Amino acid sequence: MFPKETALLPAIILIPLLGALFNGLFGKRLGKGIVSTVAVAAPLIAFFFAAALFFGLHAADHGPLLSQTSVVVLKAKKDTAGSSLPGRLNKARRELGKRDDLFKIPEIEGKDRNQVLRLVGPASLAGDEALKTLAHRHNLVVAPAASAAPRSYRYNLGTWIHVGNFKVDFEFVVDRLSIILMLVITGVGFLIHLYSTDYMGAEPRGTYARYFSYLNLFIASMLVLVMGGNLLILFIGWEGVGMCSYLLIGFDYEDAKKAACGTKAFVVNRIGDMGVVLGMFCLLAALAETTAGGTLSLNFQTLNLALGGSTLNAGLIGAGCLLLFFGCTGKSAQIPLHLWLPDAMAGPTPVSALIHAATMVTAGIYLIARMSPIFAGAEVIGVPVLGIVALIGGLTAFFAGAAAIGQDDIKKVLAYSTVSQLGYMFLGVGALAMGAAVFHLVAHAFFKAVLFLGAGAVIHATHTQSMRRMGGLKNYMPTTYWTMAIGALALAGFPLLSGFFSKDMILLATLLRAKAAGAHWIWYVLYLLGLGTGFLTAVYSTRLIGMTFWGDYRGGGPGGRHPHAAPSAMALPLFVLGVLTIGAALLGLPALAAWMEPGAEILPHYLAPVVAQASDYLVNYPAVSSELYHRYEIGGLLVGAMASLFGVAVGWKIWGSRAPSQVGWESQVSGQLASIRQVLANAWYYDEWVNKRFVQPAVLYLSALLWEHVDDNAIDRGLVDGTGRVAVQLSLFTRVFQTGHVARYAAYFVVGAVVILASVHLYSI
Amino acid sequence: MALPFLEVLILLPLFGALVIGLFVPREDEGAVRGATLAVTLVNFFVSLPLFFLYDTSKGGFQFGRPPMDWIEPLGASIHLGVDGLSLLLVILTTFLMPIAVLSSYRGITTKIKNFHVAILIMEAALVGVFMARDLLLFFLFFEIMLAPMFLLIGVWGGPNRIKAALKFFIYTAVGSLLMLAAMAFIYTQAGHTFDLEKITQSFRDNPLPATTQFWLCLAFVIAFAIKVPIFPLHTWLPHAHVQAPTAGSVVLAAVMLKIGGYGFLRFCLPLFPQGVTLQPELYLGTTILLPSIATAICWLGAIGVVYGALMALAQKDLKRLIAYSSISHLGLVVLAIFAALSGEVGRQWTSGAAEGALKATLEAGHTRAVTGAVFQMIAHGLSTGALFFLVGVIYDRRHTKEIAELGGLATPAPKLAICFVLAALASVALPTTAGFVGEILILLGVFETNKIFAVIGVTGMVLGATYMLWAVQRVFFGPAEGKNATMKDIDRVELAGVLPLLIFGFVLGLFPGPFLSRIEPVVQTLIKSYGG
Repeated sequence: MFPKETALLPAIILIPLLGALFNGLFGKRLGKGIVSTVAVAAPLIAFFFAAALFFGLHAADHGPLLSQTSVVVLKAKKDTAGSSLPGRLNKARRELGKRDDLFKIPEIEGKDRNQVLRLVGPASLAGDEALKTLAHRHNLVVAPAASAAPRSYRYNLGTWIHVGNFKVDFEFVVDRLSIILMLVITGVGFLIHLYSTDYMGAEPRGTYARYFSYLNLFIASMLVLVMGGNLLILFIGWEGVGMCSYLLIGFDYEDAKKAACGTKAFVVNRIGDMGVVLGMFCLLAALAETTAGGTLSLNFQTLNLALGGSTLNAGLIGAGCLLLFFGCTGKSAQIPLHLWLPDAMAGPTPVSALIHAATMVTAGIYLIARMSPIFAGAEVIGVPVLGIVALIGGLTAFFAGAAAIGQDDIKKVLAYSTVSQLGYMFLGVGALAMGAAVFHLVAHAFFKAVLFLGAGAVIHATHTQSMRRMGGLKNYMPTTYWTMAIGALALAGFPLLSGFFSKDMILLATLLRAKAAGAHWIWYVLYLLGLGTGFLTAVYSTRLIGMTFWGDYRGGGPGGRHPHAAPSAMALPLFVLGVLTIGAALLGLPALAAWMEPGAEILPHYLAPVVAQASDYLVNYPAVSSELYHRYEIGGLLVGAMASLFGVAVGWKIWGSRAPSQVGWESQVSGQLASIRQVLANAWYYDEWVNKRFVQPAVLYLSALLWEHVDDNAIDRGLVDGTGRVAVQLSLFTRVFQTGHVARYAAYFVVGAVVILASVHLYSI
Repeated sequence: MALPFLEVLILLPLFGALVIGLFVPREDEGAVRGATLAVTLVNFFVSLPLFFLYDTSKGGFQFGRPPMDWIEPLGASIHLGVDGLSLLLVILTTFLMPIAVLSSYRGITTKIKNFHVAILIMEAALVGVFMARDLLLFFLFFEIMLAPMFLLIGVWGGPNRIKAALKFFIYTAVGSLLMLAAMAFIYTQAGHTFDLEKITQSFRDNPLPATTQFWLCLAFVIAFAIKVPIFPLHTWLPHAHVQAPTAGSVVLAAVMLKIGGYGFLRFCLPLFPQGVTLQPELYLGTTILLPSIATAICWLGAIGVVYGALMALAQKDLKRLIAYSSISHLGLVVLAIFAALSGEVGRQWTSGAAEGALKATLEAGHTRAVTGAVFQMIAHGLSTGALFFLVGVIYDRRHTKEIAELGGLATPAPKLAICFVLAALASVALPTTAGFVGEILILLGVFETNKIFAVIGVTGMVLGATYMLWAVQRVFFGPAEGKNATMKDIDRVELAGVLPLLIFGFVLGLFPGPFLSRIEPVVQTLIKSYGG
């Protein structure tokens, strides 16, 4: 018999966790060979398991994957009497246990009167006479499996926290949304582990083991994040990846600046996490009123069912969603909390590729998609929360995209680019195009990983991160050049590459959202912002390639005189990711022809049953006929292509057609252009502003002031020691009277008696 | 269940102190340390069955025997017992004592025998404080406990030890005097007895007037507020910590501060529910309605969360920084204990006017917040105990706690750095550590009853991460220079001391069930005593 697939759920998390523990505890003694084998094997095995789950889900949803397989159900005959249905199904199930031609253990599904026994077996199963007789004996009939709601795998490890009616389980769920993310995490994760074996190869043994231990731990945490069946388990992963990010940004801890970047990332993320915690509480409070005394669970299904589209407690739900989104701005680096991501580039480059581009930073998009039925209906004082999400996303996309043009550090370009692309995803999520956002997430994971890993190879070869010191690398490292060029073109939205289609899908959704009845005009602005960002993206992508690979080599950093091609363990992941970048386009080929249904793109269609759909939540959406829809689609594609091509052309004109001199000639521009460049290079001075206006005065100045003047002086020396001093003075004073002369004491007695008598007398009249 | 667990827990350390004091030669350091370690370990293993044998379905006080006359004319008796609250704190104490012994094997080099005898006496007193079911007995242990700690700070402390020890002693003594006065008054009101069970029964049958309850409660609250400590009565704590030897700091932070929270839950809330929520009137020309004790304490707790964290940010001494972090963390615990009783709603609840949905919400929120608070007391004991332990390890090697003089310690001492980072993460309540379970329950419970306090409380999440990780960064990261570069890593004995703290931090964070199930009945009993 086959083991149940659900057993794979904990295994998928456990394998990288054990890898991390193994390398963390023993890696230093074992040598790099074993360390890297264990570390690379962990995400690979997890990937295979995830793939098994993917095909399992697929088989469950769409019937046989192979033609030799068939799925049937045994169900109750119409109006039959006799013993209860579950009993009969159970008996049939037990008898079927003797058959050894079934592919899986028969499972009972459904509720009450609709319960069925589901069988997966050879193609002959539907016409199997023995099965029919067996069914007949139990008053059941054989029927082909009806297509129901898409399946998901669940695994519950038991209770975690249970106080009163508040109960949180260690539960994991794999459905269509999480499986996509899991495949990306383990797949891209594996490639980046493989790449790292060479990239970190020069490190001493202890450092090497520590690196892979953290990296495996990250994979485990990220899997907990996307597989968690409730908000609190997700939060374990959410903070867990934050911790791994902290450890890996400050990986080279002897460099105080890098360590500080790690601290900054953790703290800024924690600001967002406050929002997650409070948002969670708001939703719980809303749930408490809806269920009136029932179990308070943070299970996504429960929350989505109970609160999705609920008009009861709309205030709490709206506030909850907004607060959760605030948490997303932290983790996914959106305005106002985006400032940690550029600093996160202090970590090793493969880490930037995995954590700060492909996986962790997309957690915010995942969270909103996961809870999309609630988000779709949430409003805060009349403003839809998703509108705010889209606005923040659009603004972030634009401003970060512009900032990327001003960066000279190759990783900083990619960092701002990531912030900008995440903004795109939030724009899509906000426009209720969850499928499009996830499509962009997947495509971005591929092409941004290519770019980061390529950048890593370049840094490895030239010993510098400054693009001013690069140039002309096309001839030295052709594989890197071509794969990065593909990645950059996909990022730029160059026609027919994955980024082109995914961005277009988001922009189209924004446009259609603007067309929906009663939509605010801001959606048109958001569309234009998105389009403008597309242009900016194309400009900086071309600039990146131009400054790095074109022209003459400008010498690199210390020891970087002779750039070399990437070694094979680094080249292979680059190549695979390059192929994936091109191939990902297939996941979302637009519905161009009139016979294709709107929204029939593969990935969005696959996700449609598990995420909120614009058509379900917006009145009169899209406000256009199918024919008009295609016109928008084609028009949108053309406009998007033009923006991209124009951007590439501008980039090529500025950075490609002139031979760059030895030093960065960009600094030679003068006048207004120079000040614009200055603003962009400093990313709109946001970091400085936050430092000057908040961190310095509120945290450092205020705490020092309170400490010195209030705590130390006023309270401790003033009140506390003061009380002591008063007591001492009082005792010195009273000591004067303790003379030992009996006559004096008698005198005090008389005076005292007179005073008492006099006051009693005065009081009585 | 006739085995005298509870008596043994008190008598064994006393007996050990006696034997070590009389029979182990002063010069034989190893024997003194070893014998003390053995006694504390045995005591821990004696306390363990309490946890497993405690019947959660029955709840209440278990393992006790009928009260035994002690000072008959006063009606004072020897009456011991543990419920879920006492149980966990007793085990926390017995768990930490061997660790405190281990923490001092390098740092304590003078008067070694006296030191260890003091530790054992302190253990007996601390265990007694948590088990006493008689007010006078409680007071006795409460006072005895001060003496060894006073000596620990005053004899084996840093350069300013005398002043710090005096401040600690006088501060606590002032509080305990107020408490003693209140106890005397209770004695007269409750039918000449100090037995808590009888007092509780008497107050349930004939409740005291709310104003009387208020004054009695105030006396108790001040005594325990000093112990927690609550802002602005906290300034003795940083002095005490900075001067105390490592063992003193570990016990002080991990166990002794918890007596504050314990006292609130054991005495203030169940004995004077209406005193806690009464809004006193002040006559100054016109009548001014002052906030109730609960409201005031909640605000002070909320202020403490933010203020303690800001103070921690400003510190230059690593130990002082952790001391202030305790004030921040325990501010949240205090907030949790009183939040549901604060304001007008709390008054309605204890006067029986709250009904239906309001009462259900208050009960649910209070249950979660208080359960979280007790859990957090344990979690804080583990994480802060570990932090003080590790600072001690650094101090024993570098003879300084100044953050500016340290730096880059992760390079020469990677194991120490890992331990410290883990302890710091436990302190900032990363999910899967015990602190997270405590904090999330507290914040949720407070949120259910009073959203503003929850919003203030949640800022501790950010501020805590800021000062803690900033400290880690300055002490352990960056280049190691001078003496820092040659510092020795943590050794095996020290690891044996600190690893249990770290490991149990995670065990509690992942499997809080058995602990929560022992705490929850305590809260149910508490709620019943509010009447209404």
